[in-house]
Amino acid sequence: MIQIQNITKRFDEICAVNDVSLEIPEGLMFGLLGTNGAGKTTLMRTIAGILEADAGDVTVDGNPLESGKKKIFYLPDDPYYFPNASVEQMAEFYERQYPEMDRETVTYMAETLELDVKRPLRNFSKGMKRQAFLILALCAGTKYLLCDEVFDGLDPIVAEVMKNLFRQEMKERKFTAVVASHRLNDLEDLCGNIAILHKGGLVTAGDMRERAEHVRKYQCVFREDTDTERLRREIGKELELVRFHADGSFVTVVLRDAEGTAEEYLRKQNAELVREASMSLEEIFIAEMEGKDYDIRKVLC
Amino acid sequence: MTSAKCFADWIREAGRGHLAAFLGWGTMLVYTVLSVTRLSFDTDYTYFGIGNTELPWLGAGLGLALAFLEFFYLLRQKKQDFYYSLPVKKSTVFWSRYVHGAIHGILSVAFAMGACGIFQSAADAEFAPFAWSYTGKSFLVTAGVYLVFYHIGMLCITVCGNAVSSLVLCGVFIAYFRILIGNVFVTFASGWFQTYYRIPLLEKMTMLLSPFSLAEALTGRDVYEKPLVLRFTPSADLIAAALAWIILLLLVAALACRKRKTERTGRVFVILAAERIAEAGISFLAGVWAAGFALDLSGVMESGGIAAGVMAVLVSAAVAAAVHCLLEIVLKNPGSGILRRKWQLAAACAVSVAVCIVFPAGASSYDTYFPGEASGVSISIDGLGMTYDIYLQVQGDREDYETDDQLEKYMLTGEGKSAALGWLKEIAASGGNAKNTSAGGTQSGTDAGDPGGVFTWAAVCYHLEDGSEHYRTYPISEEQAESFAAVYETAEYKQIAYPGVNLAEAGEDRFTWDDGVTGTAMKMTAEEKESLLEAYREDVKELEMAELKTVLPAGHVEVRASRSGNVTELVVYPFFERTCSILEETGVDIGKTLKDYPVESVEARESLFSAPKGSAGGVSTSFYEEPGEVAEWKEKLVPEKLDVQPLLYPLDHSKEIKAEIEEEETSSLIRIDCAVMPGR
Repeated sequence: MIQIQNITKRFDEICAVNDVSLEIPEGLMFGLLGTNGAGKTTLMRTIAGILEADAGDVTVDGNPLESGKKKIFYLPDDPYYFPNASVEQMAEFYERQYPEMDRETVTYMAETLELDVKRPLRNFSKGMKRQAFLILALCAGTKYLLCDEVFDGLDPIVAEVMKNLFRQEMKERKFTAVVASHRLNDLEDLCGNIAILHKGGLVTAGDMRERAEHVRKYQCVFREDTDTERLRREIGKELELVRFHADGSFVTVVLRDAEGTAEEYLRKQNAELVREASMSLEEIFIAEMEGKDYDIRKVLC
Repeated sequence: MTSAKCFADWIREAGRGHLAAFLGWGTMLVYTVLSVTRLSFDTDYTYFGIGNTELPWLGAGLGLALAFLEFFYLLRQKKQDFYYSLPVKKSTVFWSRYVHGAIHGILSVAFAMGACGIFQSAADAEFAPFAWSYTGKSFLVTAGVYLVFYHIGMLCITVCGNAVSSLVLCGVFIAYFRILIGNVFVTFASGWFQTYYRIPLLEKMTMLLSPFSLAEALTGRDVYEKPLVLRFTPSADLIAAALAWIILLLLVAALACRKRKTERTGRVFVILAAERIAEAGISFLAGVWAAGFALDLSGVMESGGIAAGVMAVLVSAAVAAAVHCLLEIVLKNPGSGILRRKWQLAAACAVSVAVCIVFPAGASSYDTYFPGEASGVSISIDGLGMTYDIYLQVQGDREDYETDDQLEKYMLTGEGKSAALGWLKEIAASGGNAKNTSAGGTQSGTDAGDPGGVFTWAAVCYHLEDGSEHYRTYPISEEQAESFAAVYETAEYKQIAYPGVNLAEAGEDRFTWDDGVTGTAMKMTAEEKESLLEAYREDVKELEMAELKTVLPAGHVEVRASRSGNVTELVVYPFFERTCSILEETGVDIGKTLKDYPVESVEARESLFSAPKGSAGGVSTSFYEEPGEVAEWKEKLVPEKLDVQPLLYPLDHSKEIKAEIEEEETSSLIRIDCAVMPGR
């Protein structure tokens, strides 16, 4: 487990990461969500040991970061490679740094994705480079993999291919991946646990679906002459209303901690039809961010 | 992985791309080929190591280039992130690169020096005995120069965040003390101090604190002759300075490596302390440099006084503040004001002002310095014991070579020293102001601002017991020049001024009489030669300086040593009765002057400031061939060879005169450069 305790990192007058504490559990995909400038990359670079925190500590499996660095592979959005180096040569280099590196798997995965391991990386397209480095990162054999905006700017097919690589590797071995992105779409089908950073601070973190268990969405049909404004006020008085949306007589309400009572109450309000619907991660986030002074729409594009 | 193995792996990793190796070995290979080619043509004045003026450039250039190649990753954010994200310590990457660059630099230098040494020892028998020592010393000094500049480059890159600022800082680092001392301190000293000639401490500081001056000194910049070059060993203080530079830079770089902020890569500086030091240092230097430049340009220093002091203070403070603000604009963070470091600004201005004040404040004590006791005194008086041409150079062009030579030659440690200290006591007390205001010598009076007051100038060096040297130059009035007779007439001074008195066992030497027009071989026995020298010694012993103002020499006896071939000239004055008597006995016509020769014509060339119509270039040449005109010229012309006391017996050199004399024996014409006797 990576434990981040009260990490603060300033760049002159700008506080990029402000007193962030976070625990990244083992064996799952952890998402780091935030707008540009939220502090995701700074936090990732600090965890990777590139930056030194002004305050706070990072421990890896209970050990200081310096001794735990060999368990971490950091994959930036624009990875560095030696001039003229090919995938094969980079794998060779990484093997010297990460003894668990599996070069055979690198070759196998690259061939699967039709990447020429002997071709210089400088001749690869952006998507091909990302795929190549993701292969290298997955095959490094480290316990933790930090990926910063690895899906940014990729077409949906390449992004999906890369996500599949993640999923396959997760099946093969137990490792922890921390994926930072400024778009929820990149993370929603990959990560269960997500932390949201905003202006250097941690807004929330945890398993969003688990938290959503106490939040219910109901789709209702009322009579056409129903005063929806009055209805909103009435529901708000009795139940913990997260979201209310009326489109004619069709009303959608999101309620917190209203299991069992919500449906009966809505029928009492003359709802002709009440149906509980499943929530998307987006709606969960909206529900979670409600009242936290964070405009979640910034990361929903 | 053990740390030692990890370090070794990373040294190998530092060699990726082989750029450093290619540059180091390639440069030295080219140097070896060029040196060997040159040595195959000439081994007398071609040096592959010490004595080669290209060597400091080579060492410095290679050091800086390899430092930039090795540590360039520190200036590239992406590459740095890549390395620092790997399971390796930042210090391991840094020091493995350091070792890699040092190895390639030093080994390639060793290879080049070794190859050149082997070649020259095979081709040059004279070099063979020095092959090991010279090659070894050449390797060590080149490696030393390389390491000094390698460390400078390394430190500059470590504290800077981008290539431009690193290069600029390197330039500042290399030039800083040379500018501060050479362009500021020396300018202030020469401007404020009336008696300034040179300050050895400043020269020493320049040599030790300016890396390139140190490199030049280490590689034998001032040694030209092969025997000296082959035996040259840098002095202990130079070696100590080079070691101090290397160790100090290494320690500071190690500290900087630990304090380096990765996130500031791309900025001008990555370490705030370095930013502050550089900013303050540059502001201070700019302030004092501008003050020196302004004072030099305006010429107010020559008149001295409060105006010059006020000007220096204002200019230095204003420029230091302006440069500080300018640097702040470059260095500041977005949004912060340019006056965020007020105390630093105040300190830079205050130190600049202090330096500008220190010089005029200390001028009086500098100018009136007199040691009282000294282990030796060196004296050079402009125009005394030098030919007219040299006197002209010394005064007009402020050429110091002859003065320096004389200061080296006229080193008085015995009775001459006591007399000199007695003579200088009053002069030093006047603090660079001539006492007597009577007009004097031919070229005098233009340098002190008071045309009538200065007869000539005396450069003096006080050699103190502690080994220190204090140079001064004093304006000398005519009265003071006359009182120099007390020094001139000491046996110690005469031994130097008349080296002929030191000749001994000259029986086999060749004696020639030269009256300024022609030379005549003297047929003398060994006994006669010894008698002549003895007579000369006696005459010189009785010589009084005042006599030199009365008459010009009759000629010279040129003594060419049979063993060494060295030539010593015995200046013979008509009042050297004993010498003249012996010379006449051997057939020399002492009284023969230019007018006794058959002068065919006289050519007089005159430079005119306002050229008359029809003449070009402001130069007018007249030819005199009529017997009457020639006879008139003959009466007043003196061969320039006899003009050996331009201060005491000044001749008229306003025209360039050449007399054409017919050589009767060969019927050829001799052209003799002449001057005109004063008042004729």
